[in-house]
Amino acid sequence: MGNQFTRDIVESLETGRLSRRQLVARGSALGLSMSAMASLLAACGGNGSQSSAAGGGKASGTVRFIKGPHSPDELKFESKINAAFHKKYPASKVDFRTYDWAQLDAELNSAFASGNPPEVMYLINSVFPRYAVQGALQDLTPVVKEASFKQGFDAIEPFAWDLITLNNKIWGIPVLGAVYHVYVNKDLLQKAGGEDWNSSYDAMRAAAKKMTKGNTYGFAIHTEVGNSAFLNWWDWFPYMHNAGASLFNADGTACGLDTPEAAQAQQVLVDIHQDKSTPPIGQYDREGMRALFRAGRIGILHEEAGFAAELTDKPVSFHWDIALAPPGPKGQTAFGDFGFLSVPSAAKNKEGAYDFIKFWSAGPQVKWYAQQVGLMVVQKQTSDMYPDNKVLKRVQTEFVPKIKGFQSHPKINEVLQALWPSINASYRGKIDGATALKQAAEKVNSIIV
Amino acid sequence: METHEASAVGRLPARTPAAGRLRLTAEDHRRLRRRHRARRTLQAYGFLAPNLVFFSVFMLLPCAWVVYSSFHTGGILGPAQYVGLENWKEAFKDPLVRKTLGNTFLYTVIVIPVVFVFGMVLALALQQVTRGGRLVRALLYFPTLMPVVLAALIWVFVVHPEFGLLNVAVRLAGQQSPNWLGDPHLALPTITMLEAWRGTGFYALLFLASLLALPRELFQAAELDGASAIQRFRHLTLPLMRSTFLFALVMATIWNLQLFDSVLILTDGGPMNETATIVWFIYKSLFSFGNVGYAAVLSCVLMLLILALTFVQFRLLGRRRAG
Repeated sequence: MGNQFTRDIVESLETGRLSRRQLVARGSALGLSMSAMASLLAACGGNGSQSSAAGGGKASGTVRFIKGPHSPDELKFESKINAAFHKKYPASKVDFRTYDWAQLDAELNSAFASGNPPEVMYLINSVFPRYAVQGALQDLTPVVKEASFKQGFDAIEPFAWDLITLNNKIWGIPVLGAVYHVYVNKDLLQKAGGEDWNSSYDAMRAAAKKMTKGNTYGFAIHTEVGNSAFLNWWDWFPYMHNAGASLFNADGTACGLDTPEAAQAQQVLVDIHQDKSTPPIGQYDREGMRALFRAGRIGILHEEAGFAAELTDKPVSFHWDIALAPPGPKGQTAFGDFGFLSVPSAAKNKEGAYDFIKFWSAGPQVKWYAQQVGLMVVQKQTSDMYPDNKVLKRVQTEFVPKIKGFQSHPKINEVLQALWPSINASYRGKIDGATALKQAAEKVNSIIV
Repeated sequence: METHEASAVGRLPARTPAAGRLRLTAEDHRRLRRRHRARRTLQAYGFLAPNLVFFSVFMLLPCAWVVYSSFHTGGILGPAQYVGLENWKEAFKDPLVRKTLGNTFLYTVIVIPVVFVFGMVLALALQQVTRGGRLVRALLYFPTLMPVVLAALIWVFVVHPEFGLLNVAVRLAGQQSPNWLGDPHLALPTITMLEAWRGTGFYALLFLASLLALPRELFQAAELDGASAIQRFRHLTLPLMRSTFLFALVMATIWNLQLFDSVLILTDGGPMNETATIVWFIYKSLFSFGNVGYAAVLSCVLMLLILALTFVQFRLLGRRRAG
């Protein structure tokens, strides 16, 4: 993953071994656009000369940074970025550690409750709202809106800024995203004559039915909590969003799921399960479903973009491709789960933290990191990403712009937990799609109203 | 001539009889006894002090804080705000609270008899083993020693739909493989099986220790009198092990009402909240939902239930007074 030559240039710029003139010469030879080279210069301190390491910025002291790991080599990747930050700000030092994703809530709560939280935290959009409303996070609106950060601010997609905005305040800088879409076994589709599966929900249901034979299943979507982490919700949201529904209404005061179009979309998913076109509900966890797909026993699988890296690294015996769920009456979306760099309000070295999050979120750093771990970025300029991986490049350039996430809300976890049993019950045929959404809406409203 | 003698019980009263004979009044005796008892008590508290301090700081004070929190919101990320009985009212109206309590009780009333019966059978069998007993006991106790996370992960493989041991056995018996963790009717029994597998070894060893301490002459006498094995078990073994059973029952109730780890790892409360337990809900309320006061209420409810059940158990199975 990633472009070794581009990485070399970034490193050379940051260590002052490459001047501006040399950058332009080498960059042009490599086919980099002028805007890409300008971004490199801006992110690496804008100078590229020997003095960039010596001059430094205003960041000083220790910046403690805590983040969930996205790779077994997390420490190695962070060390590289931290070293580059130290080069740019010689008076500063980054002390990095990871939290355990499974214990995310407990670890973050403890960190905040200690009164001495790290300077920078990597938070996801289902987590930051409840800390923001309780005053545990620093309002970064003045920081990201200052003139010196205009280029960095404008480089990030507006929808990402919307996700981190709550009560008209910005609580972090958007950096990374995990995209959830569909993987298809093209050989199974071809055998079943279902190449048009993506044209409509009916076509998808028909193709799933035709592909289901013996212990091969035409369709798989995560249905349980637990081992599948949040996938059961993330797989399901595109169907609701494609129907024009959303978890909350525009002002977050009521549930927005109980609509006729959403009920129809839910019923399609119910029917696919009742057709027995899916593995038995709850029988396979996430790893089990991936194994079934790799064994050629699932035709259409909902999964995360990172799965493509696994399929590329360990090739399978059939042709596969990625796609979005079929379009609904109100469009075709992907679902994305995003991460942000936030600063606790009790952080001791806020100035250092601000410089660090601006540095980390800048194009060269965040794009380099994302390509190491198979994630997406929310930058506008991404054409230089994943030059060696067409699938992930497609996710980044085609799917990310179509992302619709859920609205930020302090009670989002409670809401998701509360509504899921009704959705699950509909998959099991206990209730129909409309009833499931009605019950889900009642539970959501009882929490947020 | 008056004499004074030092004694282990302290200073002698001013009046002493002559000729080395010590004669104390009844009041003197009472006073000396009180002093002696006070000194012994102080000594005992002195030795208990470190433990009491630790208990107070890490158990009593947090309990008091939890009760305090149940009448407030917040308190971790910001100052606590008093809300009176609002959290309590919400908890009593919440259907998920009833569901989690129901699941917890159902699990407890199933798992305790299972581990007790299996534990007793194994203990009786081990009592007869003369060779290799230590190895067998170690193997029996191994699941108890295993960390819960490891045991749960092993169980994921045991109940795997395709190659799990359980389903291999089921298929060999000509039946269709059940969806152990995915079927709402089977998920809680599956977790119960895991906990029974983990707990049986502990109770087997506990009962074995009790069995080995029983007076053999009673059993020999009963055998001589013609009592059968079942009669000896029913009329001698069980009554003599009453205190062991009381201890085991109280501890089993306390531990099993707090079922959490295996639920979190295997099912996270699903499918459809069929394995959601009260401690799982406390954890979710506190850490995932950030609802400190509500989690505190649930903790208080659980604490009161455990206290009530323990009281009942002591009343029913506690030592019978003579006469």
